[in-house]
Amino acid sequence: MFLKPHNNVTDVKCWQQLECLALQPWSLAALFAQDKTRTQRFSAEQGALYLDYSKQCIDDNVLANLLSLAKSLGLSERIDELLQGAMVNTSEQRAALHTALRLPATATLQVEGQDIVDDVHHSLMQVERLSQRIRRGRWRGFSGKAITDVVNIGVGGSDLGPLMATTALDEWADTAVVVHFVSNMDGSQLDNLLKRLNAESTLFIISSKSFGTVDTLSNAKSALLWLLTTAKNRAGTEESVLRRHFIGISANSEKMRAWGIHPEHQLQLWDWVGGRFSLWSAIGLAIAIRIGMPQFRELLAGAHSMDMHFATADFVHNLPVLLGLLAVWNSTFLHIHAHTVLPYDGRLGYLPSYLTQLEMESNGKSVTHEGVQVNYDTCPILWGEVGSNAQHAFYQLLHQGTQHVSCDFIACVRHYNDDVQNASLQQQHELSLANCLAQSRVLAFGNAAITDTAVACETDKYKHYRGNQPSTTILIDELTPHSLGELVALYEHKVYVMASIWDINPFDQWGVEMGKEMAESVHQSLQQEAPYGFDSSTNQLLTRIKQLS
Amino acid sequence: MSVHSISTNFNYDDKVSYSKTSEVCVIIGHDIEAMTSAVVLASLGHRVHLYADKKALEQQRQQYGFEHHLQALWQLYRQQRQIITYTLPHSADSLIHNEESLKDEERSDDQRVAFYWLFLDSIKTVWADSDWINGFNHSQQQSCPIIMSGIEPLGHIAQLAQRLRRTWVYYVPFVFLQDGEAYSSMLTPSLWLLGEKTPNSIQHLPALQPLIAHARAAHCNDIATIEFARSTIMAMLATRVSFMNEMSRLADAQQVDIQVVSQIMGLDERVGGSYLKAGWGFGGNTLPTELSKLQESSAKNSVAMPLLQSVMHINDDQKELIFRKFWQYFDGFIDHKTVLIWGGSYKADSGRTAGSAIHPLLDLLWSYNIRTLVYSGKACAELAERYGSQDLLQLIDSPYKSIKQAQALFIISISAYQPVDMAQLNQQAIPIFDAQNALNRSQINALVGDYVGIGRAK
Repeated sequence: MFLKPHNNVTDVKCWQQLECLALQPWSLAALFAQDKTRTQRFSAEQGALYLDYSKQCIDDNVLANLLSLAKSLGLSERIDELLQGAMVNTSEQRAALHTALRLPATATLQVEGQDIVDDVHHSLMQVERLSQRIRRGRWRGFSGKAITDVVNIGVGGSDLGPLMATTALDEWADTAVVVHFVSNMDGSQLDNLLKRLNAESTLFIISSKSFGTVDTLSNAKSALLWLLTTAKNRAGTEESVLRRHFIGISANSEKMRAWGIHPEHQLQLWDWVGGRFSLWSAIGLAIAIRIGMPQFRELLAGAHSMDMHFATADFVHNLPVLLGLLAVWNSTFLHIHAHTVLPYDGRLGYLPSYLTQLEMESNGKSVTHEGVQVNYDTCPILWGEVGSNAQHAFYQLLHQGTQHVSCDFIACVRHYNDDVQNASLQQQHELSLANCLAQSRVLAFGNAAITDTAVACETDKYKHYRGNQPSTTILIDELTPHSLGELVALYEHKVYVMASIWDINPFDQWGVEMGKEMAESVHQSLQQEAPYGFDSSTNQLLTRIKQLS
Repeated sequence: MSVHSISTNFNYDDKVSYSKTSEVCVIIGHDIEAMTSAVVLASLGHRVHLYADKKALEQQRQQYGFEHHLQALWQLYRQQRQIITYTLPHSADSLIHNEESLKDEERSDDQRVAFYWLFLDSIKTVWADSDWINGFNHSQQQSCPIIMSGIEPLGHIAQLAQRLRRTWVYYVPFVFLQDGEAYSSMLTPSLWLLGEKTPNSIQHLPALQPLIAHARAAHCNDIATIEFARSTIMAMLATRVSFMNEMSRLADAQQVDIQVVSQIMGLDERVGGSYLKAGWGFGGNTLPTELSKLQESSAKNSVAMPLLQSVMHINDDQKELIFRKFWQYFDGFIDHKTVLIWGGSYKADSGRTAGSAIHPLLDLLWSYNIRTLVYSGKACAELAERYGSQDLLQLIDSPYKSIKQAQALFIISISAYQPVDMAQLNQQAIPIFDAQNALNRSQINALVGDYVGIGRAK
């Protein structure tokens, strides 16, 4: 099954109408003043998530045209193609079946004549078996000590997804086993950890889809040497160290075997899972170790419920479709080239980093599925930070800079409800919620939202808040494994909606390949004497490094 | 506050003379301490009314089947109706009504209650503290003493005593009780401690005088102090065990026999010889419960007790140390082996396995699909009940019967009275993992196979 090609998207009538509409002088203050009911119309909910997009620069006409655009460009078919396993990753001739990773065991999904749901659940059973052995203290290191620390070595999707989820769900952690994450190529994270950890009770998860990622394998090699050095003093053998201290997660069994991962400790990935969509697979082992398999399954169930919503809800009530279309409106039509994610909850501290990869690696593209250069703006620059920290970092730019930035505010309604002992924490949570709502209000309405003239003053330009920065607010009833699954799947599908409208492939990442190849040749040059044969800047930097090292 | 030793110069009111009174001693509880107290008092000629959860009492009686002397006397006194058991009613009021329903002038001597002895660990699941305190505070016989026993967080029993209106309230900690010798260890206690609500009121417990008189040492003080002393004694004993176990790891590295070191230490009077044996740690109920309650007290009072934490941590870790030694011996390649295990109880000659190293050991061995042949003597019934459905467990009735099938032997707890047959061991020459440090040096030297102990090796 292959993806149906788009016609030229800019030829679609509603695209052109949207271009015209975008030329209007959009004023959020005016939109709210003219329409007292817009919030009721421009909001939607699903499961534990409530989406208020009334502070976006849209009106009924814009929304209708965006929905028509989606219809005209066959978004429904594109969604079906994604969920049914069509080759939506056209440049690599693959399906992108991260949604299959969270299908219930009773489901079936035939891809090239094979039901992949069985494979998925077989892999989940392996994750369950290994995580339980570790959590129950039955997995032993070379000296027979129970594993106390697990280090997840991976980069990109093999790092950010598990890191984000384990951090967000640490309240559900019910084990003394601590999970650490190492991704940096330079070894500084690993070095810092190895100084503190006990080799006898440390287990490494080597996560790499290809098992050829240099960042990951260089860290894995250092970890192995560290273990062997300790083991030799305790009469541990290399075979024992490799068998007791490493789990491999990859689509390449042969490379795992060659590296020394024991066959029973190899977890399989599939080509049809992209790294940045892989936390639902065996890549989520670190999550399962920390919060337990039942909670990990809840995470999958939450994502699956969003998949069902994405597949079946009318576009006007469909959260991922709405979020995706609004992103297209902002970037392509309003030419807002920056987007920031602002969770007002420390538990979601790594969500911005996770979404940075998800959105920018997926949609940072400029050619269509047919290889044609696009003549419209695609993915904006995305960054973010926990809201309260961001207020003291870059909100100045949001409020008074020259750039237009769209924002996603994310907050959890309930927190610390069980902690009756600490009313102060609940008050802090309320304070955080208040800041979240207040900031979106000031960004939208500027001076009009502020009654204190000492703060906002029309005559003093440096006290002027221009407002009109569009934002969406996502309220989560309560952060749980299920609701986190819903939230992450919402963003995954948002990315797909954007890519579908732009007719780009969100599942490849050719843009990162050239740098890897170039690094290899530069690395070789570091072992050699000049001349180096690069540009003069690179040659001079190499010379400087060689002189000082 | 009175502080006085009562071991040799016990003085009580001459007007209250000790006699084998025909008053009834009312004991409330079903645990081994309550049973032992009933038997000991009966053996001293007292009539005992024992109120207990009958099912729990029977379970306890079966669990302590290895207490042969106690069991025989229990049967005898029950047949003679010197001990009469009653079902513990749901409220203390009913019990008190049952014992005190006759007015004083109507009751004969043998119907009068000498004291109520409450075993708090047993009754807490049936009676809330406030209910039984309320019941006793409304009874007519406020001059009748109440004795409490049990392990609670520090100060809790003193608080209960204060909430009781009556004057004669006491606390007896069972620091003297020894498994396997319950009856004799109470009849001639090594240390008798008595906490009093009212100073110098010991004369109101004439029935206990023979026990105090027979004690090697006795001491009376206020209840809070006695509670603290009980807890501190137990924590000190636990600390000695964990300290020696910690030293045993260094002894392994230094190739010194920790058992010999223990004997040398015992020669120093300042140290003394008890609780110095390295092994798999301590189990049973008393020490772990005591440490757990101390931990509660430390948390409640916001007092950090890092030494206590270490003692508990070392003890937990020690229980699987022998597994790690087994693992290291085979470099981790242990799956699907067959091993023989001697002993399952928390200490030799006991039938109880609570807190024994057998449990974590079996769990770990089974997780590697290792077949376990267990000769556990008195603890066999408990293991059978707990693990009866485990396919990898085979309970055997002879220590050498299945040795040919085994690739290793673990020793958890074997009786000093059951000599090791070195000839049979040497026929198979399988490695021995001695968690109890049960073998002596000459036995170790005589072994053909390998030997790995705790802080000692061949």
